Amino acid sequence: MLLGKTKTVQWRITAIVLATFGITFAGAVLARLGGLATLWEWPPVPSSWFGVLCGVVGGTIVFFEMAIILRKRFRRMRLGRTRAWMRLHIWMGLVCLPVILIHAGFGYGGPLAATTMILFLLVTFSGVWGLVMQQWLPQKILADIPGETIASQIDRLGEYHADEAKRVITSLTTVPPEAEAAEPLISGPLKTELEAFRDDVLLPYLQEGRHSRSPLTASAEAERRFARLREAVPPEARDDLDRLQELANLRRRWDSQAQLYFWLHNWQLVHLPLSVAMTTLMILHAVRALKYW
Amino acid sequence: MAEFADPEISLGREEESLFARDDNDMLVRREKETRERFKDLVTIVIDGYAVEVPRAVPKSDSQGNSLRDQDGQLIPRTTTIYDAAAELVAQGIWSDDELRTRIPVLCHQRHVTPVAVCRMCSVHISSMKRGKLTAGRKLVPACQHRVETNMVVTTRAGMPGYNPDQKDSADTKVIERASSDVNESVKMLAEFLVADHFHEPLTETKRYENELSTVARSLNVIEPRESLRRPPEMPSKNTAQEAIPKSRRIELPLIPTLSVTERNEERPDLRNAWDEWNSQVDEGYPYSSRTVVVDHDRCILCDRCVRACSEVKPFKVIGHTGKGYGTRISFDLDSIMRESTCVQCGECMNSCPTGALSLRRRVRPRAWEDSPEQIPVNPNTSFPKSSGFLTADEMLNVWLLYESPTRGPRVVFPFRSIPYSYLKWNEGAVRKWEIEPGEKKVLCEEGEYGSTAFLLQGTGTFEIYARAATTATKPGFFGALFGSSTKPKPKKGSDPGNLLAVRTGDELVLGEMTCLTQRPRVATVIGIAEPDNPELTKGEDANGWTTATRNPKKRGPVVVYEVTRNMLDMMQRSASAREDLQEMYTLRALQTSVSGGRLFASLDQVQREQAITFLLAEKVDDKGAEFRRIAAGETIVAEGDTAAAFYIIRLGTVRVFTTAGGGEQVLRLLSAGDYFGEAALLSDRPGVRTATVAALDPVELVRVPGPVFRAMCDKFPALREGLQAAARPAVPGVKGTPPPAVLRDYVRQGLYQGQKLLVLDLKSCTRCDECTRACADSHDGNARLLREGLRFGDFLVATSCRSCHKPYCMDGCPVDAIHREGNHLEVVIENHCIGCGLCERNCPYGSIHMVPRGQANPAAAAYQEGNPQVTAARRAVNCDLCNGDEPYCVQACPHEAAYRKTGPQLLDEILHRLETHE
Repeated sequence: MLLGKTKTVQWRITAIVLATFGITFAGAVLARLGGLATLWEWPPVPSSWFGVLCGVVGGTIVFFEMAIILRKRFRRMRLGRTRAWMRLHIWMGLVCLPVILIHAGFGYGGPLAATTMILFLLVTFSGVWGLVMQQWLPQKILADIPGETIASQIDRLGEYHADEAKRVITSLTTVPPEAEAAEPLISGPLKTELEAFRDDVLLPYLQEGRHSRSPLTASAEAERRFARLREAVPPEARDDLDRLQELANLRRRWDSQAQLYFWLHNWQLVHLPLSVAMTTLMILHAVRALKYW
Repeated sequence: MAEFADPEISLGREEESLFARDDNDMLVRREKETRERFKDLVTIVIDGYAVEVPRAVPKSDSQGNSLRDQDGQLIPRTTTIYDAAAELVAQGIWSDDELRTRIPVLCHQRHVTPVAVCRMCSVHISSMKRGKLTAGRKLVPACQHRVETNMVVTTRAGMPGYNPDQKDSADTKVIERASSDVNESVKMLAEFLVADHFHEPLTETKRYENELSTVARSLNVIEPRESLRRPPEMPSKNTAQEAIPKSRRIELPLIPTLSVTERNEERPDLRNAWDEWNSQVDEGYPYSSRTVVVDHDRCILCDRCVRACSEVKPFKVIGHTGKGYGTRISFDLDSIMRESTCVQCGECMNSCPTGALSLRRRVRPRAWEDSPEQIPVNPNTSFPKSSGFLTADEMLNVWLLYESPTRGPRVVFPFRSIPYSYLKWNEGAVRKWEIEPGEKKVLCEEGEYGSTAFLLQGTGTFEIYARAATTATKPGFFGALFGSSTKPKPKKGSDPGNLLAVRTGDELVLGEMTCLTQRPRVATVIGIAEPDNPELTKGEDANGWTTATRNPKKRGPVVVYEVTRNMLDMMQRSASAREDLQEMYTLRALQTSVSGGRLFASLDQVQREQAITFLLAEKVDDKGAEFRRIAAGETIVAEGDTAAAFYIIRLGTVRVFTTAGGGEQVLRLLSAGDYFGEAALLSDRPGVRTATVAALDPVELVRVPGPVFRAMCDKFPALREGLQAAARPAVPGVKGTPPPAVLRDYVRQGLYQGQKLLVLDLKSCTRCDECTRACADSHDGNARLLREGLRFGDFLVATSCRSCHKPYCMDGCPVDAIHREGNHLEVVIENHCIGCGLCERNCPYGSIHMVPRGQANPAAAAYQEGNPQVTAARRAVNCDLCNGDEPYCVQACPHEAAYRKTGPQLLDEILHRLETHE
């Protein structure tokens, strides 16, 4: 997003981190040079004209940053491409960091200003963290989860696969009325074992995944159990067991997908509420500062 | 057939369907028809006329297209006596009227399976048994009975209709007795049907053609005997039997189908006319729907509607219910028609020969968006005179002077083969334009996805213009930032381009290609009436044939009839109209294929024109370039065959593949404008095909015989050199050469079809679903894309409309609700969609969804007692590409992951990534 898609993930993440520090450093250097040229005071004072100017610029950027919520909310309105908004959101967010630091005179100020500053830094950090995740995890999902599906549909598909598994095992342990064979493929103690495996191990895993505490959660344990069953059943039933193992493996991959999804999106749970809180405090801070300026 | 009988076999009812009874009532095993019998010719004699026909013919659909099985092979069906009789008409020995007189039909239509329930087509046959011609003991239905070698058929025409050349050798006594049997039998049947089912029409307005009455009149059955008449005390079959809605569908309101315009105070006459009409047709016909009046008392159970609903259309709604005299047709499980799953496509009504299913309301053709209020739904209401819209009766009288390139000049009546009820239903689907002498009229614009064609009456000149291809411009800064509209700018009023050709008014039709191929118009057509344009008048020659003459002394307008796509489709159900249209289409397709492709790229302008002329005219052993249509999946040339021809593709895509090494390896794709088959022909010795070429979708191509092609190459050496030196991409529009596995996936996923594929770059996509949400937000909550689908490289090809080159979704829409319009790529589904789901089934990519109608019906809401929630239960929705602006799905993506690309663009991107190892 920040640097296009033509570079490797490692290169892009390095570039993001360097850009964050580089822009901040460059901003600080520029401000110092201005100070040396006696354009403004150094170290900057928040209540000086330069400090207020930085505060106004920083506040404007913050409002612009918040406007992306509205852009996303009003999807039906043609307010420009969201990717253009996002690009500006990222670059302006990075530019905002040195501006606010200079505005604050590289200090925290009073309790309100300090709280606002801490929230601002957390918001910026969470944003950069999210950006890093967005560079890395999509490619990891692409490489590691070949059978990726829509995350919200994983449990539904799990139910669907559980039904299929039930049918497969039932076809092995019972004889349909229209069949000519008198005996099922699997009977006796093996049938009891297979049905117990189905009810206690396989179906809970297919339905609930890793939350089921099924031993199939562990790949090695799953492999061991299926291998044992495969040895026990007649050769005609091995294809069906392969299918059952495939379903279990698919569920395991989807669990991994869900975990990656969590890391891909969880930073927003920090970034968004903190942004709102920071903006609110920023407004209070601005009103209070201007009142007593 | 008796030799197949096995008297030892004891059969139960369930097994009898495998068998049929021969003319001696012996059960015989049904023989499955085979393709080998296409070449197995038999000669039969009908009323002294010998005709040679194959034992089997390809099964065809209602449009005359041959049907194929899953392997792409023609499906055979048995040739019947009626087919043989029709062959006599095709050979010009009998006329259509003569055929109808000799073998009248009621239940039979040539495009559906014969069931032989009315027996009006009964004939007498004599067939060879043990080397002796033996007269059959019973009459057989000509529509269903198969032809056999040396079969002799006698129709009701008898000796008066016997072949004059054979009369001397005919056994007059036998023929007279046979024809007398046929006549008596058929007349008796007609009398029964008339006595029980013929009633006075509902209104004075003619709404259908009563074929029962026509057939009865032709048999001289005017008044049935009193004893056969239906007793008046018998209950009507129209009394609803426990008229409880059994279906799950919501009832469609009958009256609130009127538009606001029709109900408002400005046109009270229309409202009154509609009320009056309803009071006439609704009383006593409780099984009716909003489109069709159902009158069971007229039904002769001919099964035409049942077969129309299941064979011509795929709905299978109509069947039978009851038993004995109480048997009648039923909708679903005997539901009332408007409450059943019937989608009211009207096919049953069009096939009904007695008016048991008749018209209730008109449709409004979509083509006339400029004047919808001029076509009221009430079929009793006339059109404003200035509108040019034709009524059904006026359509029947439309005539055209057609200068056929092969059959000479003649007058054709294009709409006479269309069922009257269909014409009545579609009144307004034909618009008459008159260009006064000295005036011009732009008939259609280049680039538009038109839904109309133009039938030319016989005079005037028509100039065809085309603009040079324009190159796409990159969006500017603001365009890139905000997402500029991709909708092509209308060019109306601007320069139409270069003059390509001039057509004359006797060429039957113009603008038909866009209707038949669902592609944009390739040229602008301007109709010109010269100041001295002669008047065209209709007359008759000495034989009673209709003629038309140009009167140079009188000036008259140039007349053009603009017809909608569905009318053009219906016209093609008639073999003669189909042949006329195909003749013109083929001629033009041949010309455009040869002149428009890349074949002559190596020649200069002068040589190119000479080569085109040479290719169109040259013949070796009486064989020259010919136009061919290839069905999807059909093999055009097979690996290992001797090279016999060269091919130029006009439409569609083919794949070139080899099966060396066991598996299929796709070598290249070829599309419109490309050619193939030259390599083997240009070698010194007769070459062998090194690869198989098969059609991926319906393909139109020109086949140039090898000798003609070689002669052309000898005459134009630069062409030979150009062909030998030409380096062609493996996939049209793609710079690189894809690895076999990539190309195989590209073909399997049908990506070559895509003009607007929604692809998500999975390297960037964070699965935030903003694309889906944006789509749902902008389309009443129904997202028209699914962020799921097949992967191609690093891309997910989302389930969304691809804007295919060949839009299968548009095939067969019964109400022409799905189409492209203007000059945009988006496939639009109009609000008058009846929810039949045909487009959903046709789309190979699952891009069309059937959804409940989310919005109340405004017409129903405005009606006094109308329930706005009561409306058609569901409708089809499809990605509309956000009406030509940048689609919301792309615009809403914050991560530079969503794109709309063509298939070649996507393949190019994949190849680029493969090269750079990204």
